[in-house]
Formats: sequence, structure tokens, C-alpha cells
Amino acid sequence: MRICPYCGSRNREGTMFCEECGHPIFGEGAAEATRQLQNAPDELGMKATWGTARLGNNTSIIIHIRDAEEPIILQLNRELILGRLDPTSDTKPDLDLTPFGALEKGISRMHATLQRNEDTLTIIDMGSINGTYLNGQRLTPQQPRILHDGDEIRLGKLVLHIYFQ
Amino acid sequence: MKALQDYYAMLGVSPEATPEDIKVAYRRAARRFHPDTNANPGAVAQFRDIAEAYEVLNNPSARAEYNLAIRQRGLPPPYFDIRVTPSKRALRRLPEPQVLYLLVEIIPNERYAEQDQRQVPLNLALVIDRSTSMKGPRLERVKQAAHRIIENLNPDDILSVISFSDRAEVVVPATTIDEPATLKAVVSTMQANGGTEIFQGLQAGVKQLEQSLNPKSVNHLILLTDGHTYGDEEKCLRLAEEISQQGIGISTVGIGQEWNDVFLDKLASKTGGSSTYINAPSAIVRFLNERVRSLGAAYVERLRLSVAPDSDVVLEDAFRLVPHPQPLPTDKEYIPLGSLEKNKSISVILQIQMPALPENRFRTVARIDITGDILQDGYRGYKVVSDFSIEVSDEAPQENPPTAILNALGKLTLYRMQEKAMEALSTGDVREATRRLENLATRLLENGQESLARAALAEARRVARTAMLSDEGQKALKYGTRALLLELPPPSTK
Repeated sequence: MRICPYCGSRNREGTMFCEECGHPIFGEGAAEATRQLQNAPDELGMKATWGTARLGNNTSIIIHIRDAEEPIILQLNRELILGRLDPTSDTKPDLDLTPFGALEKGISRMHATLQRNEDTLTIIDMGSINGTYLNGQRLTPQQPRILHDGDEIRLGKLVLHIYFQ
Repeated sequence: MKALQDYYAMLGVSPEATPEDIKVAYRRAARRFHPDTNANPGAVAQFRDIAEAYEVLNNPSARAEYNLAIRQRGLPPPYFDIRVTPSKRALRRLPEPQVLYLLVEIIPNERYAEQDQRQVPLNLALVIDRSTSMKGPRLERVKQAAHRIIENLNPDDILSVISFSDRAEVVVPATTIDEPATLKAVVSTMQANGGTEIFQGLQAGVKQLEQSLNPKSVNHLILLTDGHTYGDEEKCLRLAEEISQQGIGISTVGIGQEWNDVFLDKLASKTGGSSTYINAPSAIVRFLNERVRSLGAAYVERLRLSVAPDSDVVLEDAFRLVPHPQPLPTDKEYIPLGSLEKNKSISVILQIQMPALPENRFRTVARIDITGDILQDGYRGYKVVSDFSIEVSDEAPQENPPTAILNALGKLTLYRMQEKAMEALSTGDVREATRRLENLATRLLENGQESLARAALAEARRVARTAMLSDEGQKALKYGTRALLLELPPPSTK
């Protein structure tokens, strides 16, 4: 429940503009009214949309895996296969997610591919069993989708974020 | 020809799925959307699609035949994509319902929308009000606009012009544009006289369109009126429902102050067409030309959106943001969206209520599909499906929603506030209506909309004094707040 700091009416969590008076109530939980007053005004400011899709020549790709200590930084030239290494299998993924709990999280051996095109990066689900999700939306196998700076990718139950630098 | 559907995508399995995988996927999907457990209107459509996919994929010989068809004909190329952006990337675990917004964008795929000169023929009916109130500059401008349209159509487009007052008159029966000069001369002879019976005009226009109905053309009727029709609104709405099934779109244009905006909105939204307000006769020519140009630039027609939330999720509201801002009905299986132009995305914002969320996990929210007819290749029923899910977690970060959603919602809120004020007034609650109008004025001012703010304040005072709105003020507020949505940059310019 969020209390509108302007007119006092109650709004459900997730509403961004008070249903009664129309004032903005998104941001640091209007229900905790005292906290809001202490915040600097630009913390309520708008963050940019989840990022650009353009890759320059020197852009690195940074992959932040949820709960991992260190981000993975890559210079991606053509393509990178994400998956789970299986010593008995012929094919190997370029980025092995076993250290991040790939097996428990339902990651297939060849789960998804990151592909560098001229100035964009795309992700392609390779027909994985538990699916690849981009910002919550499940990808159709073999259909590439353009990635933006800050996008959230879920492989099975493993969540990671991708950034451009 | 009917487009080949991607049954594997519909069930959410890979083409190499085993029969067991398929059964499991079917049971899961069927549980989500079975009409007995899911009361949402869109669920019926999803259930039907899933059942169709299962029937084929579960039967080994049908599946083999289907796989062969895919290999030989190939699945249709990605004519357009759906992108779904949520207002939050993760939801907090809460013991009470919460609101989630989804921005659904239908993005034309430039590779498959033919770029060169317009290929798609138009089958267009102009239905023009010639009641007495149209006399003078209004009708003159409309004639001018019709002339310009005739000049800009291609020789193999089909045009009919109907004028109506108490009765309908077929000024130009459906014809290709062989003799533009003659057509223009005939249009010039229209005279204003009589009452307003929109149904007569609509019916005559539809008859003309039906003579050359073609799944490969854009079949469209533009209705122009400046007044109220009496007693036949229900008949008009029923006619619009019927022709939507036939693949005919309707757009409406209201001129001046006196027409029934609620009615014209409803009429247009039955087919996904646009509903517009023109205050000055001088804007008529420009607007109509643009409308016809835009119809001719369509490469997908009869677009329909279907939203099937999970059984414990409710679709509360839907609104088309661009290209023609308009409230959308949420009580049907399919929401008509009209045409998709090359290079112009369609954006719709959905307001969804999520139930109490007791567990930390990933959960599905809704399945969204968009179906349309691809004009250039003659594919009917091309479909793109998107399954949306979200994480529920105690640690969901308190981040701000994407700018595109914030901007759209901010403007939409203004439109909704105006609507709520009207509603309050219609139930006789003068105090509530006044309060809402005053709030609206404040918000408009904060959004830098000074003249609209003044209009809102003026109406607030008028309502407080007389319990009534002025026609002019009411329309200015409604269409003024709606038009604010057009000032937004399209969400997917990056």
C-alpha cells in the first residue's frame, strides 16, 4: 500500500500516479513518508531507459551474474555460447556457467548465444529446455533479440545482467 | 493463404521436444488458460490456440506432416516483433494485490516491410455528413479534402463517396481512379441540408466497400460528422462489429463541438481505427490527407491483440499510446488495433493487477499475442506470441520504472482524470466532479500545459455553478489530454 504524500489516499503498490489526485508516487516507497522527505530530490528523478543498444568498436560487454562476486568482462568479437560444460559431450560452451550453479538452475549444455553484429549485440535461445528470458519475456528458440545496456537475462533460473562499457 | 503457425512456440517447447515434453507443456498451458479456471476474456483465445497446437504435435503423423510443411514452406519471416517492457523487473513479495504496467510495442521489421512505393491497394469509402450544420466552410473544406485525396490516390485504388443527412446518397459509387477530374466535379456538387442519420450513411458506405472486398487491400471507411445521430447508435455499433469481422476498418472524424464523442470513440475502437476531433475546418484537409496516406502505408492489416493473464491476474486497463491514442476495450478475446505502418511502431500500455504473492519465485503473468494479415504476401493470421513472467523476491530493488513507461503513464493519468471527472458529473456528483477538475488543472499546470489547465479550471467553475460542462470545454479537455500522448517520443527510438 502506498500513501500519496499529497492527498493522503491509499494506492496499491506499483501504482505510479495517485489514482485520486494524479500526483507522482513512484520512487522510494511513498508509504514510508519520513524516508521520502530525507531523500535528495534527484533520487526521485528518472533513470534513463534500460540503455542503449549501440556497440562501438571498443565496447566491452560486462556480465553481472546474480550473487557472483566478480563481474565477467569480455571483448566480444563474434559470438559467445553460454551453457553448462559436460565433459562427455563433444560441444563446449564458450562461457561455462557450472561455477554459478548451472545444473541446479536448469541451464542446458548449449543454452543461449550472444552474437555480435556490426554495432549491436543479440541473444539467441538455442532451444534450451528451461528457456531464456529477456527482461521477463521468454524468447522463441532461434529468434535473435537485440540487447540493451542494463538488460536482464534469465537462463533457466540463473539471472544475470548485461552492460556495455 | 493462411499463415503457417509456429505450434512449438505456442506450446513453449523446442522443435526437438519429446512427446512427453509436449504433454507436460500442454498440461501446464491448459491449466493456465482453461476457461473453467481462468475468467479473463483473452484466455479463451489462448486456450484455443494451445489446443490446436497440441492436436497436431501430439499426433506423430500429424506432427511429421507439420514438420514437413515447415521444411518445405518455411515458417513466415518475422514481419513484426513484440517487445514487452514491465514497469518493474521484479516484484516484492506482498500479502496484498499490486499493480504492474506492461508496455507492449509492436515493432515493424524493416527487412520485411517493403520499402518502395506503395504496393497495397486501398478500398476506401468516405462517408460525409451533409446535414444543415455542415453548410459553409465545413462542407467546403471537406470537398477540398476529398479532392486532394482523389489526386493522391493511385489509379487502381478504389474510392466511393457517400453523403448523408436524413438519407444517404451515393455521390461516387465505388470506382477506380480512372477519371479524377470527373470525380472531383461530382464531389463538388454536394449540398448541405437536413438532419443527421449516421446509420444510413454507414450502411451505404459498407455496401460500396463490399463490392470490392479484398484481403490484399486495406478496406476502410472514414466517417465525418459534426452532429448527433438520433436513435440509431446501437445499430451503428452493431454494424461496426460485423464489418470488423469482415476485415473493414472504420475511422471517425468529429468536427466542431456538437458530435457525440463517446459514440464515435466506440465506433472506431470496434475495428481498431482512429477517432479524431477537429475544431477548425482548416485542419480537415491536412488531417484527411494524412489519414489516407497512413492507410496506404500499411503492410499489416486487421491487427488484433489478445492478452491472456493467468487466472489469478487481472487485466484492468488497456490504452493505445501511439499512433492514435485511444482507450481499448478489455472485455473481449481480441482487441482490434487496425493497421501497422512500416516504420511506425504501435504501443499499448496495459495495467495489470497481480494477486497477493506469498512465495519468492519466478512466475508467469500473461501470454500476449498479436495476429494480423500481411498484405503484400497474402498471409492471413500471422501471429506472434509472447509469454511474460516476472521474479518475485524479498529483495526486489526499488528502482524507477523505465522512462518510456513513466512518461506514458504521466500523460495517461491526465486523460483518465478528465474521464473520472466526467463520470462523476454523469452520476450527479457535482462536488466530486469539481474537485477532480481542479486537481486536473493543477496537474496540467505542473506539466506545463497552461491553456489546458485554464480550460480545466474554467470547467471546474462552470460545473460548481451550473452542474454542467460546456461542450467546447469538455471536448477540449478530452482530446487535449489525449493529444498529449502524441507529444511523447515513440518508446523505441534508440
